[in-house]
Amino acid sequence: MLESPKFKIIQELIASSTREELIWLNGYLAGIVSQSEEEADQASAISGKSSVNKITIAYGTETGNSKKIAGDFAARAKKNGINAKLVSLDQYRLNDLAKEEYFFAVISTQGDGEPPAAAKKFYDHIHQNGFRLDKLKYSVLALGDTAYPLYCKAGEDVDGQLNRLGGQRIVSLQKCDVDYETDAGNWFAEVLQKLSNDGNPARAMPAIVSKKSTGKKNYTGTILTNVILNDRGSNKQTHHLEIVSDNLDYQPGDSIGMVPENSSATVEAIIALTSIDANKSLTYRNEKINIFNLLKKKLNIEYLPERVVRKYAGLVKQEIPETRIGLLNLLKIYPVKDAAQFEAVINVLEPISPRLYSISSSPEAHTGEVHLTVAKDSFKINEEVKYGLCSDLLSRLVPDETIDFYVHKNAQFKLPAADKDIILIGPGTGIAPFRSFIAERDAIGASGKNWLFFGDQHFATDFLYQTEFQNWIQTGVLTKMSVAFSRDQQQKVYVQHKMLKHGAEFFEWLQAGASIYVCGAKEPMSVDVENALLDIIRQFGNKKDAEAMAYLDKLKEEGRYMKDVY
Amino acid sequence: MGYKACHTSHPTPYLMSLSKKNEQMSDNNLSPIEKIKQASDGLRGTIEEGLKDEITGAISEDDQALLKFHGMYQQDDRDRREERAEKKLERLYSFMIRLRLPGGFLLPEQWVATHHIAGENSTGVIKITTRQTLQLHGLIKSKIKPTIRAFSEARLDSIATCGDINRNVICAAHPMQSPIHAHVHAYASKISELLMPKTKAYYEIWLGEEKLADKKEEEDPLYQDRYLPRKFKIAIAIPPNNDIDVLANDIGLIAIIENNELKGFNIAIGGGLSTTHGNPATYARLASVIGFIAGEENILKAVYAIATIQRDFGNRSDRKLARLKYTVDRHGLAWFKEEVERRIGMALEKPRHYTFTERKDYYGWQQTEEGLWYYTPFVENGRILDDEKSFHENCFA
Repeated sequence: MLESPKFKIIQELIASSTREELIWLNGYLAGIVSQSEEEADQASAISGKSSVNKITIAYGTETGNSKKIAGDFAARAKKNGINAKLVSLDQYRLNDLAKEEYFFAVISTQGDGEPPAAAKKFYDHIHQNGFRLDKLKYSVLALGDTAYPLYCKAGEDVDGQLNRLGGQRIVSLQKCDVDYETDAGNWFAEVLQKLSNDGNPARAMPAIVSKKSTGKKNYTGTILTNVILNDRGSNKQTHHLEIVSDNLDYQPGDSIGMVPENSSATVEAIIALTSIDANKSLTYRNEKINIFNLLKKKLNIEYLPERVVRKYAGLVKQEIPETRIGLLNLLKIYPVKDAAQFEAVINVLEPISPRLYSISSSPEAHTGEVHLTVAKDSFKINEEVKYGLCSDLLSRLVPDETIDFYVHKNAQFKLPAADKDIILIGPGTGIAPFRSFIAERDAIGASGKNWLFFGDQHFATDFLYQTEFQNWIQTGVLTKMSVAFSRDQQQKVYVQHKMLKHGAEFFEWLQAGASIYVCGAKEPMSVDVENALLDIIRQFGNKKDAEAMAYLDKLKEEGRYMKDVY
Repeated sequence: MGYKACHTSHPTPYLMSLSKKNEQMSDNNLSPIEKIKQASDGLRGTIEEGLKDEITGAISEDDQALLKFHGMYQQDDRDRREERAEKKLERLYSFMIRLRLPGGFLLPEQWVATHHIAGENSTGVIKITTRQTLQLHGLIKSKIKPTIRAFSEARLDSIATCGDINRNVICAAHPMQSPIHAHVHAYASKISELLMPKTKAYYEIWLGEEKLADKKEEEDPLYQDRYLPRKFKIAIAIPPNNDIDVLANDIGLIAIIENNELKGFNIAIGGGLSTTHGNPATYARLASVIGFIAGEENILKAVYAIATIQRDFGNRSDRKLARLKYTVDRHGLAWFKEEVERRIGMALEKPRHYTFTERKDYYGWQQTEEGLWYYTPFVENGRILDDEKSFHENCFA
């Protein structure tokens, strides 16, 4: 039973011992054996006794999936006798990282390849130089969506950077698509396996394990209504779309995602310019598709990111300045040699990113429908006004046209229990989920109080859903509404100013247990709102800076301060 | 040609009996506006709260009735109703504000200030009205206070330019035309001041003045808490020019000038040209001259007395039949004249002779008696854009 070196030691020990010493050893060993049996009873049988008893599981979450997974893993670790510390990355003390021995990160990736806001500080910290993590043994579970070009980028970066800082990867980076359950479960089983026979230094692991999968439920919806909510004379063009579809499954706070198609005219121009055979069939992500459809429906050809432009420059062997540019213009200025070279270009193009729009309807109030509140996005390139691909497409939909979409769940942005109070801060199209919240609370007869902050440019033209909110005020569903129209007076007034104006009452609501929700532009709005929030806590809660910060952190921990910002 | 008080309609027995009933009317027969006025706490209502409501550009219906007494109307663009409803936007509410300019008189710096205010807070268009005043349109709710404050800084106000109250007093247009014109013109201001409401609501709400501790200070012996049953218009004409259409007013004062001296005024009552379409009980009526009175104090007393008679005997249940002309016809001219004399404690003299030979504006360059030149521009539809260039093009091209 014993391996030979151990057996040899015992034989030597016995040979050199007196009879009394052997009797004492016999009893001593019996005692140790009975003790370890008790400990073994407490441990689960899944992977046998673990030799590691302390780990940290940290998560960086945006929609709540990472948090859920990390929580499940922490529970499983505990059953295996491992003391697992569960922590959100925005609560994680960065100085602790150097002291960590076993560190597991579950982190999602935002549409543009960014880490979730809650993981930003951690992400930036590990990307600074000047420290080593030689003690660290780690593994990263990356959540993402293969529909995006920079799939699981944040997880990849964290994994690579921890390695560069001297950390030892004990299980390879696991990337998970939207149906993450199986892959994530397998990854953690492997982690537990490694922990159970540790003591052995971790062997270097291959960097990436990934499997292709698709788990989104796709819907086809029919447009019922498409109206511009802004009045004539506004600088804004905000569309309200009502879409009907079968078997819709969403909750207030969720978004819908859709992949906009490229314009046929642009695709045709590209094909004409490159003389490529539009009907030639290629395999793209396990799917046979002809070049025309590939360019129209799958690949991003507008406003290419610099990294793609760089690859293009490499292929055509020309110097191209680092800039964002559309494929058509790129082809005009720096032509490809022939159709074959263009096929190589196709290989470096990235998929069209899905666009997410907060749902502005409630499944209870608007049964069988999803409503969207879409600002037609306009920007200038070389003095020429351009429109965002997807918002432009949505803005031009007319009743009876159809559209494909999926539901993007957001567990981090959900209504609290019906009797809890909520404060909603949603200027501009940030109003969308809050129309959903209020409609839902109206439909289910929720007893909690509701206070809505809204802002836009002009009262007369930009008060989105004005008559609906007026009705909700009249019927008492909306307890209070505070609005800020920035351009109706000389000094600009924004939602944060209105929060401060009602600071005393705002703080009373917080003290009474209200949850705060913020939706809209990440910058500067959500930053200004957070500063106003801290001001209110300081001023009306009579707190010093650090105390106010702690108060806010506690709100976050309790899930009472939620953001859906973009 | 001369204008005569040609309307001598006799009240019908039916109207007489109706009037008896009206005078003993129980509160239940009062028109809704009457109840709003009485409950308004000196025309305050809930205007303050309504101004603070950021969710709507409108104010409550009751407050809209009161707002008129402060010189404003709430309006909305009817052509935009349907489209805005589809956009889930409420109606496009805005407010019109009308100044109190007795005799249409304002100083150059006040005119300039009005231009600036119009450009900053309204549609930018200044409208000159037939009652010799100026009004601005398209003020959104949040612009009302800044507008009234700016007017106040220019020593202008909008008190009582709409509503059931004495409106802007109009007078022969140019006070500097002759010393007599200046003399007569001064009556416009005097009458306007005399018939101003005593409530301090305007100053409190719009100009942020402190609230009165003692409401007795604003007790109003003229308007009490009910004001007049309907709008009340006064005009002063200087023959031979009837440029202000004196007999189309509730009270018309016709200056009697003999030997280049103002002797006093003929008083005409019960004018008013408006009728309600489809309502045969309504009619246009020229004012009837009931007598002559001399002396400033007496003149003002008589005007005041006429207003109180209308206050006490005007129809407060049917607003369509509430103007002074119906009160006069219901009770008869003779009764009315006696009631005036009773209230002023003196008899009116017989009307003096006067002749109107024209009813016009003299456009272009004119000369005062003193020999000074002045210019009267023609302003089409009374619309002036807040744009100096177009103003000069309109007026001086």
